[in-house]
Amino acid sequence: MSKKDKSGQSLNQIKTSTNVVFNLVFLILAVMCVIPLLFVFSISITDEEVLRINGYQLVPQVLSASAYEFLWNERLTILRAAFMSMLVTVVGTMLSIALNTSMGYVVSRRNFKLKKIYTWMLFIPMVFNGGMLASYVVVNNILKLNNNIWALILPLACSAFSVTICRTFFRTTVPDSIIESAKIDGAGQFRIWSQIVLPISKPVMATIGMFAAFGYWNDWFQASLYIQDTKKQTLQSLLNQMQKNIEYIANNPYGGLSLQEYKLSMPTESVRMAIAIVIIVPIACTYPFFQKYFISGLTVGSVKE
Amino acid sequence: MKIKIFNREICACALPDTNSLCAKSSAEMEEKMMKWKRMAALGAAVMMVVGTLAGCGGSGDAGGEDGIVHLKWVTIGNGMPTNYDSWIAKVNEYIEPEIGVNLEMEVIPWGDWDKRRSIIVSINEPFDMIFGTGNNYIADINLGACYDITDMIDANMPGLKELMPDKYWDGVKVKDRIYGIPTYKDSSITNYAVWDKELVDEYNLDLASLTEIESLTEIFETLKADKNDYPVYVKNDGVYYIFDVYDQLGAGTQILGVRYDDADAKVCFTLEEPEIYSALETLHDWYQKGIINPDASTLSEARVYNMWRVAQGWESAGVTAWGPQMGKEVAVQKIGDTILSNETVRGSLNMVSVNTKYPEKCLQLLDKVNTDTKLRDMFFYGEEGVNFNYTEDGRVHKINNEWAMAGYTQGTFFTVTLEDTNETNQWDEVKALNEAAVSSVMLGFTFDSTEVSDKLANCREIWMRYRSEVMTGVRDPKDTIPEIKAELMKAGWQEVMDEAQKQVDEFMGK
Repeated sequence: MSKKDKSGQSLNQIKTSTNVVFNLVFLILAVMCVIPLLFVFSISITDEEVLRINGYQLVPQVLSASAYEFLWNERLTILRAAFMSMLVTVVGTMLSIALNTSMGYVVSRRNFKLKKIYTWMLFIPMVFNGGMLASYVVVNNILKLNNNIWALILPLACSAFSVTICRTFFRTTVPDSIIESAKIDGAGQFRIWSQIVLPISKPVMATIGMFAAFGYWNDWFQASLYIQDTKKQTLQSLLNQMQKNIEYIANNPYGGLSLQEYKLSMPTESVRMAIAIVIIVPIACTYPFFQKYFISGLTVGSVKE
Repeated sequence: MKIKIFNREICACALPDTNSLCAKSSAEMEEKMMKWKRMAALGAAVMMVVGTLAGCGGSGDAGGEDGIVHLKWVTIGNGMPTNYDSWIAKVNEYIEPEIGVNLEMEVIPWGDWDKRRSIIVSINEPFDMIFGTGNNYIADINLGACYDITDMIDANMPGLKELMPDKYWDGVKVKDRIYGIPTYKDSSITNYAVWDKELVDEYNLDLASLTEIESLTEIFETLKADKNDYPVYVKNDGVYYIFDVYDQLGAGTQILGVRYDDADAKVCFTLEEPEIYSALETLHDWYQKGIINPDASTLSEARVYNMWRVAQGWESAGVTAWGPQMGKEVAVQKIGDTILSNETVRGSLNMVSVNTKYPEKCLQLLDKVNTDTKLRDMFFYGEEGVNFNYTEDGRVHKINNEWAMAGYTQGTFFTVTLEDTNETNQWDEVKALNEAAVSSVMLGFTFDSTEVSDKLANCREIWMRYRSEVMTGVRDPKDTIPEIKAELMKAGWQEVMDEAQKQVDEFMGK
């Protein structure tokens, strides 16, 4: 800060004009992210009658807590769904980290004979996939996981994308010499992976862990295919189902009036938004934890060369 | 001898390094081989048994005891009811002695329906009956997934046969065969203009004179000026009811149809028909005058409050459904005839799976559901004591609104016990409309589009691209319709029309 050139800037400082442009860009991006969230929140606290007449407004004219009261009255369903979401996310994320990093470690070792074939086996499903029917047959008919919580966990546990990230990370940031030193000390492959490689790979674990956690938390698709029992529904699939049910009825005028009448018993607009808020809050709270690893982890080295 | 050679080969390839093994006496090897083979055979047998059991899954087995058969019925609704277990126990307790059926239900939520239904139909997941609508019906028949029940109806469904007029059975005929059982409810279509009653009173409107779309412009202009709101507030399918007078022949697109009362049965390009064209011109006029909401063509969900809209139903629905939906009192006015066509009948039907072992039982069950009031109430209202109670005067009092099954999917409305809150019997009204309905000239005819399926699909896509903007008045029909037609012609529209006309002529000729 002490040395200043003619324009009054310190040496490493970005040019003022560039700085302004960047700040503006990030400001706009941030606003684009925050506005929908504010909208969702403000609709959830708007009076239903006002919504009916005025449509959506950022600043609610008449406040009402009725949506949250409704959720409170339905707390058994909501809490059960939240618990299922939590369970699936926690178990799924741990399983996912274990599977992805171990597979990533294996294919990152240059002296592993089947490395090539495994890499191809990873690469192909990244580009093509078997489609919905095939996976349904596997999960439902072969594994018999219909209506089972594992049907929400297993299909998403391992992703070729995450494995590839792990592989690249292990290959570029874990030096061969540290693995060699472990080998000389008599460590087996499992010990090398779990006690040498993983402890210095927290950033990558945080990355794929975050992908997995968000994937599990936001997933409604698996539930819509495999879960019929309402007691095993996750929060996200509960919301999705409400939304889709309303859409279905709106888009099928030919189902007759008897179908349209069910619209009366559907949750109102503000209730749907309130559920969205309930979904967003917990996952937003986990961000800071991941953040910690991104900042500290990326600068940590282990071997001096 | 053969076995011996086989032996050696196995040895040679499976154990290349242990030649010494092969040198052992072949008798010993043979014995080992036999043992292995026996094990393999046993294994295969086990696999087959397991496979068959798995194949049957929840359905079709349990035929042994007392001749009671297990049936699975897949239907749509608001998801599985929370008290399903206790409910189904009561249902089975009632129907087992009467028709010898042990029932299992799967209620798929509306939102998951299309996807899940197509999966379980295409992978042959075991079920005995499934709910469907017109589009599912034709697709399933083409897939060979439906049981041909034509010759079994008389013997197994006497009750429904008596309840439902024969013309409603015609509505589900495909090439003179019947594959589905319609639910006899509001199975014909009557359009009503639904007005905000406050406005009707304020402006002293004579609704009977406002049934033609062209006649509305004047009052809408006034409303727009006075209320500073859009009198016509629609979503991206626009003012779609204008096509309801055309029978789409099962082709699944609004632009191809035969007018329901056209005795000559001419297949037309509906957009060029004078009445549709003039309606579209009116829509465009409305759009320019700001009568229609300007964002209509991109909206996927309409507004709850409408000054005016057109909906299908019956007179007292104004009090029971439309009014409460909108949160205001409404005035209704019937528009046009009550029409009965394939589409209206197929709006809700149940099909018997081609894989079922007990098609007769399926029909008997549906017959029972349609005619037995006690059973019908169980399906419609849920579990007695949990979801509803019978009052002293034989009405139903709903305890809560939690029953997740959808009454319209199961069977007729006309055997359902009335609720204690109903002032009039609206089902009588619906029944009267049904009986007075004008049958479309094409009732019982389904266009077999296999010859032109690609072209038809292309044309359908072309219309879907224009639909939102035409139906909400954004585009001027004067320029747009020739544009659409030119594009359609390139995609083979003429052949589709010719093929349809050919089949229609054959149907009319007989």
